[in-house]
Amino acid sequence: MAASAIADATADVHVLGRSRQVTSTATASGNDDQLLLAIAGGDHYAFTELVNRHGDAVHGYLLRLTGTRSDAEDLTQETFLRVWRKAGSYEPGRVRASTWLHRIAHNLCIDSFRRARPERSLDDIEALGSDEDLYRAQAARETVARLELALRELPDNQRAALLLCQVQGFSNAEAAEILGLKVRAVESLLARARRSLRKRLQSEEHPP
Amino acid sequence: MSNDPLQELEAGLDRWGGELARWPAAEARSARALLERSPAARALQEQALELERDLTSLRPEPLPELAKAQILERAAREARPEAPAAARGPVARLWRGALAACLPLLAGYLVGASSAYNDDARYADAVSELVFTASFEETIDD
Repeated sequence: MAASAIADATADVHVLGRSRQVTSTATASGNDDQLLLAIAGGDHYAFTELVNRHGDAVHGYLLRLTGTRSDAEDLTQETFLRVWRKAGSYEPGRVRASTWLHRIAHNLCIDSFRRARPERSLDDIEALGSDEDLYRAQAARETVARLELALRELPDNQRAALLLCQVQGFSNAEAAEILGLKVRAVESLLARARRSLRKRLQSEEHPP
Repeated sequence: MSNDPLQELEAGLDRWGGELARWPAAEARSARALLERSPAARALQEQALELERDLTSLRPEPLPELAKAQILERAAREARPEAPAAARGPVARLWRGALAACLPLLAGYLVGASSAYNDDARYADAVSELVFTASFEETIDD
């Protein structure tokens, strides 16, 4: 970390017209909203704390969405840099900070999908390509490995909805906010995803 | 929606999951009643809950330390984050104040100019009507 950032332990924060002083020692124990306010003022300590708190969750979501470690790491990096630059646009109270973070991550992921294959979108029926077999290497007998594999074969939009609600712990309404959809559309995606997963796992347990 | 209560329950489990607390209140009430009397319904719910347990037990995928360090390093290299336009320090606030003070003046000028134009236009209309009427009367007199 830059020496100047370390020396600047007290930041003068201006967010949404409000001005306040935030000391870095306070941000370590602050909630996510306080962290983002401090980040908007250039507080590197607060930023480090936010990365420590949410880095794993964002990375896990992106890894399961993209299926490749390098893409997931790049997108996680981009997500947090976007947060660093745009923390001032976060509106506390409108959505949770983690919802806002996941929304940024999700949108960056869609953009990267489009760049990689312009015809592809989260509405595609097609499953993710199998360019990098992260999970095939694991024994298919293990429940987790089978589940990871089954997840990867879901269409992108169904996988995103299921990951957000079942793995990342968001409510259906929060997932709708992240995906930019109506709650009913998310519920429909979840229904199709759960049905597909169940059928797939049952057929593996009881092959014809 | 199907009339078969088991199919309805299955559709609900797919849509809202196995935890009835996440269901809408009315649907959760019907589901609870069905679950009390039907072993098949309970088996369906257990199946849904098992899938959810498996999903929540997926191993965490921590962000590698190197990637974390790169994020922090890149942020440290960048200048202070963009402050919202509304909060860029005292000079910006001064300009905002000056602009706010000028707005009523500008609005007054525009309203005045517009009504003056309308008055002129009405006057021109009236004059042209008089001229037209007079010339028309002259024509008749002729």
